[in-house]
Parts: sequence; structure tokens; C-alpha cells
Amino acid sequence: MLKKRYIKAVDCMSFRIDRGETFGLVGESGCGKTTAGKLILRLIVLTSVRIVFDGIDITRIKTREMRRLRPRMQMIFQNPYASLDPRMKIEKSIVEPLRLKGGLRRVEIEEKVMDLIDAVGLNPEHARRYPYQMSGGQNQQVVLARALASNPDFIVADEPTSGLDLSVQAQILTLMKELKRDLELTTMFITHDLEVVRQMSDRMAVMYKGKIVEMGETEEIFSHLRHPYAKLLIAPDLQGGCGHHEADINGGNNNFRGCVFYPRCQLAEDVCSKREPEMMEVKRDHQVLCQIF
Amino acid sequence: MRAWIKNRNIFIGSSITVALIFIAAFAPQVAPHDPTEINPMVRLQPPSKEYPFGTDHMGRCILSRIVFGSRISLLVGVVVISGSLLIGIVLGTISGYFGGLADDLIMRLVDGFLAIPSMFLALALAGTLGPGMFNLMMALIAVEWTSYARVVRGSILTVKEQEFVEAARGLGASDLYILVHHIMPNILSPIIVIATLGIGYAILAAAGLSFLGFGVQPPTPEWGSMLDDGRLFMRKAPYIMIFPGLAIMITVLAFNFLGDGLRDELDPRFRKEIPH
Repeated sequence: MLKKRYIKAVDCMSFRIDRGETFGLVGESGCGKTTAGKLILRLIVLTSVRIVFDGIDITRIKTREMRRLRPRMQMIFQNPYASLDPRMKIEKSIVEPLRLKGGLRRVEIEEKVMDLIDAVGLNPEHARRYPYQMSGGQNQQVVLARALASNPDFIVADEPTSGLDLSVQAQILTLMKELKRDLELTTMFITHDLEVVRQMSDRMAVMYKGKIVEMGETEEIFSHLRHPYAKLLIAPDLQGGCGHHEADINGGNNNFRGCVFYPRCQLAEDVCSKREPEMMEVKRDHQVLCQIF
Repeated sequence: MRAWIKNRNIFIGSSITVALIFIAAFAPQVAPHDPTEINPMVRLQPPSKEYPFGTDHMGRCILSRIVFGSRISLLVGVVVISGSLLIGIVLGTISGYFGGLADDLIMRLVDGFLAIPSMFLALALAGTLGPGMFNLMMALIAVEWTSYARVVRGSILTVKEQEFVEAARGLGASDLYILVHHIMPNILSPIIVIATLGIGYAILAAAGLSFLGFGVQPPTPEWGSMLDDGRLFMRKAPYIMIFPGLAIMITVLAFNFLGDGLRDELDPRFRKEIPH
């Protein structure tokens, strides 16, 4: 009947996250950050990817084996209200990952739940509430407790603070930093907030339209920007303000061969519309996807 | 819970329902006479002290027959809805949650059933299966399950796309776990509502089929067949029809009140407290 059209939400991305580090992923809305985060955890159907987690290629294992691995990797979703079951009391929501992981006795679970509630800064009285009886910040604390419950090695945090007001945001970020230090977590931090990424991450990548356009150590990137899009995003002043951008004429055209940023790039040259750039190493651990920078 | 008692629909509906269940359970104690006892001496008597609702053409006490008839009606209502719910939930879940070819097949089957007017289909099935209470219930289940399958499927389609389902999957939950612990609790309210409304409809449909002679066979007292019995004497002794008719009306009305009230109370838009 109707032919399905496919859009490449994430395309040719390649990156590594080292144990114990926080990797920031920034980019504008709709550039594929969330998709990338979900892909890593195999929460959406994979097309052609290879994801290696702690030496295990999780793209090749069966669903059942993947389920057994899941407690080791957790995701914190953008909207705390939506990621908690509205019909489940907070306590039950936090018990859930422990029950799914298995191997704990009832008393141990109860103890652990109280520890977690305490660790994320909630009160024991919150345990008996429903998500709709709590504030956004409190719910995000619950989500955090849920993510930590199974003692994961790796957490993908997808804009964990975007729906919260500033003071709560700071509180959650501080909490995440503390927890990360105490528990030696490896984190992928997805955000569109540059201040947050600078504060939280050791290494970072800037995404544009499903591709990583610049990647490296956070401080190095912030101080030595290369890619025109990253410049636009991180330091618009350097280019004399955002100014005007040409309309994005190549929206859904899969035949376009050039650079993804070509239609909006103010520094674009002829070559940019004809040839696709490749990732180039400008310094140790600082890569850029641009052929004219 | 307090809000539920305050809700007038729920209060009226559940009061009548409880009274009905009580009457059905203690029918032998409540009824003044034996509902099947034929007494030609007192044929077609108008309501009196001895026979509060009068007697029918065989001299049977109408009140007693209505009292015993409530057992049949409630039984039919509950069995038909339980059966339809069971089929509807299983097929609706397969259809809505797993989708794909199974979804297409099940939904086309439902469409097929819905293409035939439901009363006509029930009539045809009851006619084919032959008279009797069991066959009557089977015929009604065969007609009724489709609407439950559709409601279940629709509710699952909206719930399964929500983030907390994905979050549960991320925790390592299996499909079965997600269905039982996350999907079912979240689709329960619409199911409760349509099931309650459905009981009323099933009782009405069962009375209709019995009226036409497909349901419960004489001398078992049943409201629909009592109407049929009184048809010939409608002019001379209208109370033979009036009282069973009222019984059907009040019962169906009670379940409709209850269903409407539950719909108001279970809808989270009206229920949620303000977060603090």
C-alpha cells in the first residue's frame, strides 16, 4: 500500500567510551542523540551497527542473553514522568530492577531500596507515593535510583535535567557527579546544554544530523573548536552571531553526496557539496568531520 | 474510595447490583412461592396480598419467578462477559502488543464479525446450536468478544509506546513481565468500564433471545421467556409482562449507572491529585 520512507537518524557514527569516563553527546534537537543512546543499549532495532560492551559484541547476541546483560547497562530517560509507570508506587518502581536482576532475598531487597532512596536524596516517606504525587525533580531522583539499583557499569543519561528547573537541575547534576565518583560509573551524557556537558563530561562529541562532526576531550574541544557547526553551536560569537542560515534544502534527499552541514555552512566551498568529508584527526584524541576547516 | 461513594451513578448502580445479588443468592428465602408450581385455580390473577405481582396463565407466582429469574440473568451476564473478556484480552493482547501478521489476521476476523449485525448473528448462532442456556451463552460470547478485543488492542497500542515500557525493557524485563506488570494495570480501567456496561447489554440480549424462544427452556423462570409467556394475555393481564419487563430494565439500568460512574472515577483526568 504505502511505501515506507526511511530517514537515517544516525549514520556512520563511531566512538568509544572508556571505562570510568563520562562521554558527553551534544547537538540540536532532532539530530539523533537520543536514537544513538537507545541504539547503544539495543533499545531500538538495529540495522547495521556493531556495539561492543565490555568485550561482548551485543549486536550479535540473542535477545535472551541481552536481557541478562541489561542490568549492567541502564538508561535514564528525558522525561521522568513518562519513564515511571503511573500505576506503580515509587517503592515498587525501585524494587523492579532488583527483582528483574534476581538473586536477592526479600529482606535484602527492602534494605537495598531504602539505601537507594537515601542515596539519591529522597525521604523514606516518598516510597509509598505515586509518580503523579511527586515533583519532576523527585521523579528524576527515583529514575536515578532505579538506574543505580542493579549496580550497572554503564549508564546512558538522556537529557536527565532538561525538564527540570534550574535549582533542581543543579541538584541532580551534583548528585550524578557524586554517584559517578563513588560508584565508578561509566556514563554517556546526552544533552543540548553546553554548560552541562562542559561540567559533566571528560570527553565529548558534537552531533549534527546523525553524524558526529567533532569529538575529543571536552576542554580541548571547548578551547580549540574546528568544525563550523560546532563553532556555531558552542561559540556563535566567533562567527559574528548566528546570523541567517540558508533554508535546509536537502532535508530528506538521500542522494545528496556532500557534507551534511553544507546547506547551512557559511564557510562552505565547492568541494563540500560534491564530496563527503571523512573523520580527521587534528590532534591526539580530537577528530573533526570537515574537509576545509 | 470516598469519592466513589459520593459518585451518584456508582452509588445507585452498586446499590441495585448488591440488592440483585442478594435476591439471587437467597431466592428460595425471598420468593413467597415455588416459581414452577402450577396452580390452575389462580390463573391470571391481578396483584394481591398473596401474589404481589399477580399470577401468570398457569397460576404461577410472578414475583417468585422474577426472583428466581434474577439468578439466570446474573449468571448469563457474568458468564458471557467473563468469556468475552477472556477471548478479547488474549486476542487483543496478541494483536496489539505483538502486531504483525497476527494483528492483521485477528483484526480482519473482528471486522468480519462486526460486519454482521450482532443480534442477528447471535440469533443465527443460537438457532444453529439449539435452545438451552449453555448454547445461549456461547452464542452471546461469540458476538461479544470482538468489542473487547478491539478495546484491549487499542489501549495496548497507546500504552506500549510509552517510555516506562521501554524503561522496563531496558531493565531486562521480558515481554510477559511487561504485559503483566506494566501493560495490564494500565489498561484495566477501560476494561472494567466496558465489562460493567457489557453485563447489562448481555442480560438484555439474553432476555431478547429467550423471548424469541432460543434461551432457557420452560419451566425454568427467565425474564425474557416470561415476557413471551405474557404476550398472549397482554390486554387481559398486562402485569404478566410489566413486572419482568421492569426487572430487566432496572437491572440493565443499574449496570449502566455503575459503568458510567466507574468511567468517571477511573479516568485519570478526573482522578489525579495535584502534585506537590
